[in-house]
Amino acid sequence: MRVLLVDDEEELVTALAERLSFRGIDADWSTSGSQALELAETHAYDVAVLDVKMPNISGIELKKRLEKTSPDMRYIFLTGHGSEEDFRAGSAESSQYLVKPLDIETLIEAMRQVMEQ
Amino acid sequence: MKADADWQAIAQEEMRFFGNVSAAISHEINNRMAVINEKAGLLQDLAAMLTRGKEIDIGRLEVQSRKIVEQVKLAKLTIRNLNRFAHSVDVQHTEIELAELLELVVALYARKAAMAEAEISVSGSCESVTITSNPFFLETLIGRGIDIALSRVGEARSVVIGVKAHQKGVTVRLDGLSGVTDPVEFPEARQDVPALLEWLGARYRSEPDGTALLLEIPDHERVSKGRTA
Amino acid sequence: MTEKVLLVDDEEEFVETLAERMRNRGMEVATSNSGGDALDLIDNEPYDVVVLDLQMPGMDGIEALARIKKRQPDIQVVLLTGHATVEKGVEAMKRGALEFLEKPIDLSKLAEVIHKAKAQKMILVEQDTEERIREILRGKSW
Repeated sequence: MRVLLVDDEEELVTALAERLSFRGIDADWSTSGSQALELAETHAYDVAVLDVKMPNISGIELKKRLEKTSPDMRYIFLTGHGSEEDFRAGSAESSQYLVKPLDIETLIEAMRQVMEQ
Repeated sequence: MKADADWQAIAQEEMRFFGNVSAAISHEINNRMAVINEKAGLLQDLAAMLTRGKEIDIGRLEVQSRKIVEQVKLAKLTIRNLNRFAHSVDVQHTEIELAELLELVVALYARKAAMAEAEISVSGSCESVTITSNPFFLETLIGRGIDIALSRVGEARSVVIGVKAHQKGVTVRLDGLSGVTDPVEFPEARQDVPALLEWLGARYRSEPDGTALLLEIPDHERVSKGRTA
Repeated sequence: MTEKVLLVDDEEEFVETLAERMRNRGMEVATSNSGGDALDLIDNEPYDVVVLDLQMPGMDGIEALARIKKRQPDIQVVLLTGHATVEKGVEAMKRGALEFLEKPIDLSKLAEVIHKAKAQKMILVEQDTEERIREILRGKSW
């Protein structure tokens, strides 16, 4: 499984990438939407894990753009708060929504689940 | 609800309540940070020992880092409550699930209760009760009720909060007290709580034997929804 | 000389971990979870410094500070708080605290304060001893 991680918090996204690699999951990371789009153009990812709230672009908006170049990619959203709107939007999108702080096992399970869809 | 109200007094009380709750939460989160800081420092110490060629018990790395995760989980609960509290001002007139509201306020007051060396809990036999009112205002009144309860807690040092519906509204009940009398007074002599009570048409009273405090709140479903708080 | 410290805080994980880290730095550290227990402990052991949390259930830090200074005036007290304000700091010092520190703790700062407190105490003990010797000498008629 190849994963693209996007979160403006570099400490978070690099730690996640490392922890996933310890568990045999290849992960690339970026801290911005534009960087993420660049990476997606040149690499094929199975799953993109996107922070919902980022300074220049929302996770949802980024997903729309990524869908153009990577139609087969699945999505998982990270949110600071499990607010009602987030969850409703998430289920409408048929994506997974995970609340930060993350539990790595929960993330991996969510990735497996979206892959099965 | 009365048409005209002492809005200045109500606003003051709301700001005071907001301040009290925020301060308590900031203190709780800081305490979690303080523990995490020490645990991380300890991991640094262990790493430094290894670098200097000293032997360490590797099991400690697992145990101490697990404790950091535990503290994070505790902090997350507090943050979730802060978030719920923050969002309780989103709507000013809505149907409220009282058991949920009570759980939130009890969680927000956990630290204050611990400092008073007392326990507060929501009664297990809480009916599923709803009321149409202002969530933040109700939280304030219940919070003030808890303030009184903690200053009048009985020997068992355990306050139990429950709620019952009746024809015109609901009654929130705080049991496990001692020496509560009418008229119910506010420990820090808040003049502003009465203004809030008046606007909601609510009132506090005590049980004759002094062991319980009751807060009676009318349902405002019939009030015009055009009126905003 | 090794500093002998009593750490007082109701948060178990915090106090135990901090104690261990202080021991790693050569201090002798005992712990307690309440002001009441601490007061008993200071009567039994010659602590150099008591590190005390300002907000504990039961007896708060200011009250504990006052009682400690009353019982054992030579013991130095460092207060810990979640949020340090100038007013609180001034009050703490007025009541006889040596230092007033904010949590999360900067351990190097705390260690420095404790070293200084011990050094200061040793000077006072020396001065005290010197004075007593002088008195003895004055009292003797040669």
